[in-house]
Amino acid sequence: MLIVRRKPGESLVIGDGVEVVILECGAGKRVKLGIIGPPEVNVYRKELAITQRQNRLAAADVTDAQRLAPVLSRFGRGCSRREIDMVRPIRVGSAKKY
Amino acid sequence: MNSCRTRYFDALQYDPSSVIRFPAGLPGFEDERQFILIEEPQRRPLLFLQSLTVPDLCFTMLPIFVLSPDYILRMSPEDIDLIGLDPSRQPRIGVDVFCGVLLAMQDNEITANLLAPIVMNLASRIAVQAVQIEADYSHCYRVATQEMVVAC
Repeated sequence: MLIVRRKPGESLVIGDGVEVVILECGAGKRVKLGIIGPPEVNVYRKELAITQRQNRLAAADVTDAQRLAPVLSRFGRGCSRREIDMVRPIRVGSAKKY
Repeated sequence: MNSCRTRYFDALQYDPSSVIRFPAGLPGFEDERQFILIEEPQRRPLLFLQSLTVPDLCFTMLPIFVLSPDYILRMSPEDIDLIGLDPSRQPRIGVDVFCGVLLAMQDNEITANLLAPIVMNLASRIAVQAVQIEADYSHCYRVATQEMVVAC
C-alpha cells in the first residue's frame, strides 16, 4: 500500500484523470474528500462493493439457507409473529426442489 | 391477482398491492426493481425475496431482530429519502420500516450481511438495501455452518 501524507486543500492524482482532494480532516476521525474524474469512472464506497459481492453470493442458491429454520431456533429471542405479519408475505406450502 | 414464475416456489399468485419496489434495485442487481416476499410457515422466521422478473433470482432473508435484537439503524439521509421517509431522523424498525438481512453461503458457512440490511417502508412498500453509515456491523456475520444445516 502506498501511504501519503496530505493536508486539507492538497490533492492526489491517480492515473490520467482522477484527482482526490482532501477537503477536511479531524472532526470525529472522519476525512472529507472531493473526487474529480471522468464520468465513466465509477466512485463508490467500499461497503457498497462488498454488498454487491455478498448479494451475488446470496443469489447463487438459496436451498442451503432454506434448510436453516431449525438452526435458527438456537437464537432463542428472535422476532415476533407480528413483525413478520406486518410485511404481509405471500404464504406458500412447501417449496419444490430440495 | 397476478402470477409470476419462480425457481423455488413454482408459479405464484400475488396481489399487485403486495409488490415491494426497490427504486435503486439492489447492489449487484440494479435493474431488479420489483420483488415479492414469500413465507413458508414451517421455515419461519425465514423470508424469501423473490424477483418478479427473474425466476431464478431469490434471496433468503431474516428479520434483523432474529440475529441482532439490539440492532440500531444508521441509514444515510439519501436512503431514507429514497423510501419516502423523513431524512432528518432514523426510521423505527417495526413502526416505520421492516428491516431484514440477506443470507449468503460462503466458505461452508451461512452468513448474514448486517452492514447492508433491506429496509422497507411499511406504509408504501418501497425498499432499499441500505449500506449503514458509521456502523461496525459485519457484512458476513456468521449464522451457521453448512454441517449444522445438513444435520437438521
